[in-house]
Amino acid sequence: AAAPVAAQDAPPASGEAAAVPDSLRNHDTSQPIDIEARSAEIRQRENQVVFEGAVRAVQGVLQLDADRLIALFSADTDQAERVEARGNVVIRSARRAARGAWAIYDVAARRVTMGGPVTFSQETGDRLTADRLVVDLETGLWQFEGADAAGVSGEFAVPDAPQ
Amino acid sequence: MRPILAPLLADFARAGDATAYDRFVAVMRLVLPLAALAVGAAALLWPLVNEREASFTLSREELVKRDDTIRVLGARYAGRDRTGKRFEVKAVEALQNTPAARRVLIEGLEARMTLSDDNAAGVHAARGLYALDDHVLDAEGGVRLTTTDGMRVDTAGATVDLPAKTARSAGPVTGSSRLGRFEAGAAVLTAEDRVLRLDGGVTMRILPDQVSRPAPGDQAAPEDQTRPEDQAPTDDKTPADDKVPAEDGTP
Repeated sequence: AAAPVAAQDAPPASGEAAAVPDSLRNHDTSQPIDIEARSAEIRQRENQVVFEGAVRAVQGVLQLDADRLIALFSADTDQAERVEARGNVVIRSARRAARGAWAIYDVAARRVTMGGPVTFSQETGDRLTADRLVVDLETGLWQFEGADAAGVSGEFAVPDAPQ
Repeated sequence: MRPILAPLLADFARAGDATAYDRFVAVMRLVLPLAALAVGAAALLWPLVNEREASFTLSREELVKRDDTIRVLGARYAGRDRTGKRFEVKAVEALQNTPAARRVLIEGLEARMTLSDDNAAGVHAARGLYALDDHVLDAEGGVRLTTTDGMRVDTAGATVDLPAKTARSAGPVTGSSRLGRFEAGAAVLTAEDRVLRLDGGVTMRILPDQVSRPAPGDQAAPEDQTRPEDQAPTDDKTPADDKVPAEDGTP
């Protein structure tokens, strides 16, 4: 079986990012977002809806789980401009997931930013930790960034060399 | 000449009653249209004639007393809340089992509450029990709550406190608002603040900003490569979970 590379490879210089393409490429951010939660408060006057308790927001392949999630709407179009998630936040796409303390889905900028610490895992067994993750919903890139010396550190499963 | 006329006259004579018939037709040509007009007018004007607008606090349009049950048709109960804003319950039929009864059984009810900014919240229900003292309405048999700025909640039953302008669903609700469609296990509407609290499991569908999507081939515009730091949430950079930002005011 493929033995993951035991030694922690040296983290790249701080601030550098390891970018990994994924199925969120050209994600259609205009599709409706279906949100489930234990409870919610629709505050029409403040143009926001606050969801609480095992919140799961799904938009096509993109899935955002959190303890608490606020959808902020534009006053004139009644459409959600920004979704802020807090507490045990998990971003999932078809084959990968990242876990963090908070995340912001900026619909217009087509970008999900997650704050740390961020831990990332992938089916292949790769694991990464970073201070921040930016998922670009156009290019589909998951960009991990380290804010200080700890930077981005990871462990990658390397398949056995062919005999 | 005579022989020629003879057959005509004969016909004429035989049809002696023709002139009467002609007269009948002439009269009918006048009477029938008039009759039609009269019937048409009656049909149109009847509801207007029948509608009598009763407008005092407790209108008793038609009092049908059976032993001492009071049955009011077209009842209307109105009042004002502390700030003087009007609320009103209209009923197709209202029953009070005794004149002193303080609760009225209502069939076919419509309630309306005026909000501070003169928007309004409405209740439509098949039937309900209305407490005259505290103006609380227990509506059931299919209830629809609405606000004039686009919120609609459908449920089986609900308790509505008219002066306080709140409504609590008895069970599951489905509905929609400007911000999206939802279903939940229970709901509490605070019409004055335009807040709808949903509990017991919520599913909601919201529509994100319909940003015009560049054709797939386009390169992401350069400014997209800007540092995402500006993306930090409204509060400090990485809020620990307990330091939930106060701006949304929830505990």
